[in-house]
Amino acid sequence: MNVIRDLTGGFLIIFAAGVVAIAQNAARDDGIPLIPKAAEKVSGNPYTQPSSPTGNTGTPLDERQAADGSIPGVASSATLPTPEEIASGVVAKARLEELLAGGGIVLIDARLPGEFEAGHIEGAINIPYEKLPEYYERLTATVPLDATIVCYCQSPTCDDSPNLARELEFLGYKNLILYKGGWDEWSQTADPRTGSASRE
Amino acid sequence: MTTDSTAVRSSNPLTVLLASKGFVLVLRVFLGALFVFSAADKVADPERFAIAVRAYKLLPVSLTNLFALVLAWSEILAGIMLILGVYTRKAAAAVLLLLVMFAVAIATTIVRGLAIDCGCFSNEGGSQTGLLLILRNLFLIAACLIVMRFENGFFSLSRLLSRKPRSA
Repeated sequence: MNVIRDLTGGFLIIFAAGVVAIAQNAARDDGIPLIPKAAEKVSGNPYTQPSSPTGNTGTPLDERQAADGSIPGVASSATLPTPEEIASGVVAKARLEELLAGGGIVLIDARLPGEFEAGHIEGAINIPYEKLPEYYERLTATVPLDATIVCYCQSPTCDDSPNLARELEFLGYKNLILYKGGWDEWSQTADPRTGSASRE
Repeated sequence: MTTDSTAVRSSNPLTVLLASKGFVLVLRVFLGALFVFSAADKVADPERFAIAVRAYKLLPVSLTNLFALVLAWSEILAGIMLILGVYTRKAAAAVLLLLVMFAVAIATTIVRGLAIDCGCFSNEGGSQTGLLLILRNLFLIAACLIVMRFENGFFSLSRLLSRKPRSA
């Protein structure tokens, strides 16, 4: 038995498989990009930007609204994210409450099922990032590609929601927003049983 | 060196068993079928498999799609070669390389405290990374080494094609 020769042969088989893989992927209609599209624009991807000390990146949406002169909660557009909000990629807590009240978004909790069951924002569905392959069918069956999705995880520094948002972008979801305060911020004023934010 | 001669020369019953034609054939076909089975879903839906690859957080995101494609096809190609018995020892070596890589990747998830689906046998999930998976891989690595050491071409396409036709 010549181990070196066999291992070299093994590498050659893997190399040949790579050639076949690329050719077959190019030939099929539903082939995937060799380089994930979202990875090409890392510098402009809000999901990969470091958190600011407050946990939000960019201009807070409630500040932006004030600057725009719009009145949250009055116009119907206030209950749906604006294109600018989607482009910013983040949402603050007060604005998320409005969006949830409007019912025009899908709220995804990216934490593990045990953490979700211990407490979550009311109306959220659980798609844990670390078990995404297991939840893939549930995700694609229940959330249409054109849905506006808000993802959150535990805290401003957790990375499950940005990672999940990145994966959703790979899957073709376009309207993705992060609630970076996460369950830690939300639960400070939430009803511990339902996850509903209490009005102060 | 043929397997039969090894078996005949050895008085160790374990070596005789490992070197037996039937045992090596069963291991070879088992490994091949396992890899073809596990790769079929990944080849059919590479995007979903790429998600499982990214969950390991070992590669730059830009490489994950290509890696998922190559990995899935490596499994299926090496698996088919093992089942058919074409370049069997080299195919077993390819599977060995993949299994060692899987074991290292799974070990890093344990060290890093990642509890992710391993993406091993299909895209469906359900197998979480952990020590048990490493043990399973070690068992499969041992099977590969046995095939590499004792493979003798029994019931293989290579031997069938290399047979000289009987003279009339």
